[in-house]
Amino acid sequence: MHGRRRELIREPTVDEKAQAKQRVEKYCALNTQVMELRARKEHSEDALAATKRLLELNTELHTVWNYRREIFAHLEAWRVTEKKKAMLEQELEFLLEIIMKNIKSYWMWNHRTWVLCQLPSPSWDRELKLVAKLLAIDARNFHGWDYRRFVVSKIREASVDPAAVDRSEFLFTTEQINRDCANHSAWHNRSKLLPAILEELTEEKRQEVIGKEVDLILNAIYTDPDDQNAWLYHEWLLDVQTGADAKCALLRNKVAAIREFLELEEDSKRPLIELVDAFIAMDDLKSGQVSDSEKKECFYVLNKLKDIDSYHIGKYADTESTLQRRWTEQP
Amino acid sequence: MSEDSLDNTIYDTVVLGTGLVESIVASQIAATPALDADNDNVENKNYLKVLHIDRSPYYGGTSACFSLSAFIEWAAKYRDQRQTPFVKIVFGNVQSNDDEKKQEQIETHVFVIDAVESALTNPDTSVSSNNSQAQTLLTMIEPFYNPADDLQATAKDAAMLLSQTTLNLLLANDRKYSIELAPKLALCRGAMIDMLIDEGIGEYVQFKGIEHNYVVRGTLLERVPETKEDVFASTTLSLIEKRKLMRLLSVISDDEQCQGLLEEARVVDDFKLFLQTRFRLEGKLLDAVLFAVARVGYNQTIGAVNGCERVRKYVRAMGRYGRMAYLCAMYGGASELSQAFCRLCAVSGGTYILNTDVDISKSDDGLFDVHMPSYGTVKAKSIVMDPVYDPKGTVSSNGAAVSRALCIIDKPVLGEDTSVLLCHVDDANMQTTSMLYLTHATQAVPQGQAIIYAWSNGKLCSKMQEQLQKAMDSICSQAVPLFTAFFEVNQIVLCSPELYLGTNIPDSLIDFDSAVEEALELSKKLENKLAEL
Repeated sequence: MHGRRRELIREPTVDEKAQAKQRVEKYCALNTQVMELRARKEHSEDALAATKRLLELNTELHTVWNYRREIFAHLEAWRVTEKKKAMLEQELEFLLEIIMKNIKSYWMWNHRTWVLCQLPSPSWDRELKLVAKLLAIDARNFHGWDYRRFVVSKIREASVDPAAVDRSEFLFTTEQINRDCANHSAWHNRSKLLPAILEELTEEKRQEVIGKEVDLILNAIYTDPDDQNAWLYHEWLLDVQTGADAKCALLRNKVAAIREFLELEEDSKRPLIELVDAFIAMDDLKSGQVSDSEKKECFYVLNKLKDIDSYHIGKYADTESTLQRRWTEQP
Repeated sequence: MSEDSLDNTIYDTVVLGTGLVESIVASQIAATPALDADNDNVENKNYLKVLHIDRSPYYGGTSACFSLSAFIEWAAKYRDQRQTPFVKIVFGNVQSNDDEKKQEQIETHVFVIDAVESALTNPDTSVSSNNSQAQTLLTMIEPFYNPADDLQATAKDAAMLLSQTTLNLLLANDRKYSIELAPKLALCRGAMIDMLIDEGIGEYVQFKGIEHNYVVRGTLLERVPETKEDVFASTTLSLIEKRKLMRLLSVISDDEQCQGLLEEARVVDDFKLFLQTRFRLEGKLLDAVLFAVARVGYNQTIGAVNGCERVRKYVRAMGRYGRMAYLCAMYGGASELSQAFCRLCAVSGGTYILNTDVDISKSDDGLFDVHMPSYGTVKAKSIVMDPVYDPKGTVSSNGAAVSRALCIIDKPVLGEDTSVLLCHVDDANMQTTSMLYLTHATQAVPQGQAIIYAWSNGKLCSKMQEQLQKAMDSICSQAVPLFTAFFEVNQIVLCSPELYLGTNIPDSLIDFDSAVEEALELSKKLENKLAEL
């Protein structure tokens, strides 16, 4: 998990080794047993119980998860709606128990999704609460975020006001970002939601929302200019804009903000790099966007960067020569 | 403790007063091996013998903590008149629903207790005066010692009746109050916490985190952003202010960068100037760092190195037990800590006697005679005392004093279950006042109420009183002040400082570390003294 220290591993004692050996033997025996059952295509209650015991020990056996689903489908009780529902609810309970042991198991999340899709009317709100709890423990777990997107999409489908669902999710990302502005998953999720939010707004409102997003980005930049998330999100905001003019306008604002920042801290590496990149981007979009003095500024900044960040001197020299070729070559 | 077992004992140290510093010193000395020549090779070592005496029936001395009635008793009976010449108590009006009326009534419910009601145990120095206010209060309190079916109104006029009504209301929950004479906090990473952990007495005291740190100007409370998350989420700081603050926080938190910073700071005598030039802090950001974090007074100048170290201490304290930098003890910090150290001293062999008068004199054999009315006389090689125990002690001429105020309000205005540290800034009078807001969360008051402490260096003249009142009003204008008290604490100077070691009154700093430093210094002096003998 993020932010946890790795525990020092020490040499196991003789007792511990003996215990471990026993556990391994037990596990292998169980594994063999389940595989045999599967080969025989046995679809009984006993087989189901055996798979449960095995999966408790190891959630990563996707073959066994598949087998388990097969068994369910073949059981007599499965055809009775009420009994099927009860079994599925029990399955959710089972998954809840083992989720805490290993939050990062693809197969387990996959199985949970399968169970929920099998249920006639699953409680998506409960699922949302579950994911919220998980993200409270580990805010950057992408399994959690992925699952959350899945659950939200289901809620959205069933909802009378999908836009409201989007907005509340958007708010959730705001909370997460406020909690930790370096939470990449939160920024990423936000970027996924923004198009839907913008779609239903008038042009004026769009600009307002985008303005707020820029404020959020600036907030993050001023708090920690070396953190990539805010800068990446800005890139992404650019993509959402349509037309070279709108993009250039956004880039101009970015340049102005960086200039203000540099007045405070003239040797801050990341903003300097972003400044040059902004000019290059504007130049790519439309010729004539970058003035001569600004081009000179780029070269000045690149030289500065070579000094500040000598590790990447090669990269800056490379950019420099590319720009030289581009800007001194007149068509 | 029977008389016989005390006689014929020569104590290495007799400590008078169970205040915090005295208690720490007592516990340190009791755990010090005796300086006998043959002590090192012995299996069961001999340790220094300590006798710890307090003339009051409670622990804590100048840092004691009381229920409401006990506080009034302290004001009436136990306080030292030189140290605290008077206590002003104001009762609020709980009956009227009209705000103006409440204000009006408050003016008449003022008790100024300027004479100690009954002699502590020495009849010769008793001061009795007719119509003393203290008597009134005590009479008010009396029904609660002997619960009777009817509470007869002893007050003669309506004003007294109203006071009594308020007091009765408060006394219904008497034991739920923990009113401190000198409230302080513990830095999560600091001398006091470390000492508690080292000595293994941490589990005797329970703590809660201080949730917020505010700077107050007028009635505007500004929360001090302390972590990166706070800075990001703050809606009152501008982008540039955020950047400046983050830069300060990151330089201070990083060991290497901080070293460099301290080098730069060595040549600068004024921390405020340093913050202005090196970090370009100004306005409310400067306030936050100077007043709320480094806790420098308005007119106080400290060196840049000192200032940086204070900020560093604060920043380093965060994250150890949670987001906060300070911990607040339950049931009264200084008092609980004094008791914990006393317990430690007792476990190490120290002897305790409370509620006895004590009289010290130098004997011809080079030792001290310690005389207690019911216990006889014991001998001591050295004496450590809270200077109030010196009948010839005088009030310090350099005016070292702390003025304190407390106010119990009927609504938890800053939050029901929180503990908050504040600093009130008054530009017009160029004053800063430290404040502490406590609630039921630390068992300071019954649920649904809150208590505000305010204090500042200086004597309690009328201007100071206005200042303290203003500071408290700034945060509780929406609540009824049920019970307000003002008093000053003067440093008493020993008549013969070459004979005895004296302790200082609790200072106006917010944390306990200065008390620990003082105690350790005293212990060292004491050990040297004993070694010389």
